[in-house]
Amino acid sequence: MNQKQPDKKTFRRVRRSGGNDLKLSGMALNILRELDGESSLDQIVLRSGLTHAEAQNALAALVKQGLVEAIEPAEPVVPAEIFSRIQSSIAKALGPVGEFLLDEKMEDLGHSIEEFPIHLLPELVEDIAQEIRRPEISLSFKRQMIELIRTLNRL
Amino acid sequence: MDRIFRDSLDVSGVRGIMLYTTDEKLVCSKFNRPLRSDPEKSVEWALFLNSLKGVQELELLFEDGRLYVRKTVVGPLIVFMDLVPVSMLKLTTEILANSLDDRRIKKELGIQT
Repeated sequence: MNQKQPDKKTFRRVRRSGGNDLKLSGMALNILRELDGESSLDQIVLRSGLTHAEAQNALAALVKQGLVEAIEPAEPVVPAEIFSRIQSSIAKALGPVGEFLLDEKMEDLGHSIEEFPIHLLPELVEDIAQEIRRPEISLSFKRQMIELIRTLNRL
Repeated sequence: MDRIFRDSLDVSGVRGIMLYTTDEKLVCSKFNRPLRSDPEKSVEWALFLNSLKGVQELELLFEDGRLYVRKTVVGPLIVFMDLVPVSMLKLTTEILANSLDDRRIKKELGIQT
């Protein structure tokens, strides 16, 4: 049942200011040459000819010596135009009562419209749907939102 | 018949779905990819599901995957998935569970009403 998730983290070289001597293995040098700040670990492994474990160990040594740092991938956020579609679906389901619901629920999840992560969208939909009393309307709202999320994931 | 399971099977990380009746008979199983062992035979599902009487929703986390169980009008729906967020799956299985209330769909699945 095990399936490895792709490693999307990237790495970049760091200009080192200290004057201490460096001890680098051939593998670490190999990896250092391949770092461009854009390639993921999986891509570096492919180009370097090392195994995943060897590349990981070499990278860990480089990070420890302050020569390399990891760049966390930016979290994809929901485009603003999607929120106007969500807002219009809320308005259809709840009428004027729903005007501030979207902002309120986003805030509850610790985010705002400018930086709402895509992965939290299903949770936001669930939270909003709970406010819709009539089950058939709540279900129809969820159906529309599932379609919207699927469209978003295909972009 | 596939269409009612499609949304849930399309959720990222979902490996497969099995639907049982309330008396623990397998209605159908759909898998996106084969599992290491045949899930229908490798677990004593009747015993397991019988012990879940009254449970509405259940998540079991394993080292390399997640088992999500949801009660439906037909019986328990079991979803095998990777260790990915479950919120999108919960949304789609709610729609699925609701569809199972439809007489035509029950007929398609061969469930006697």
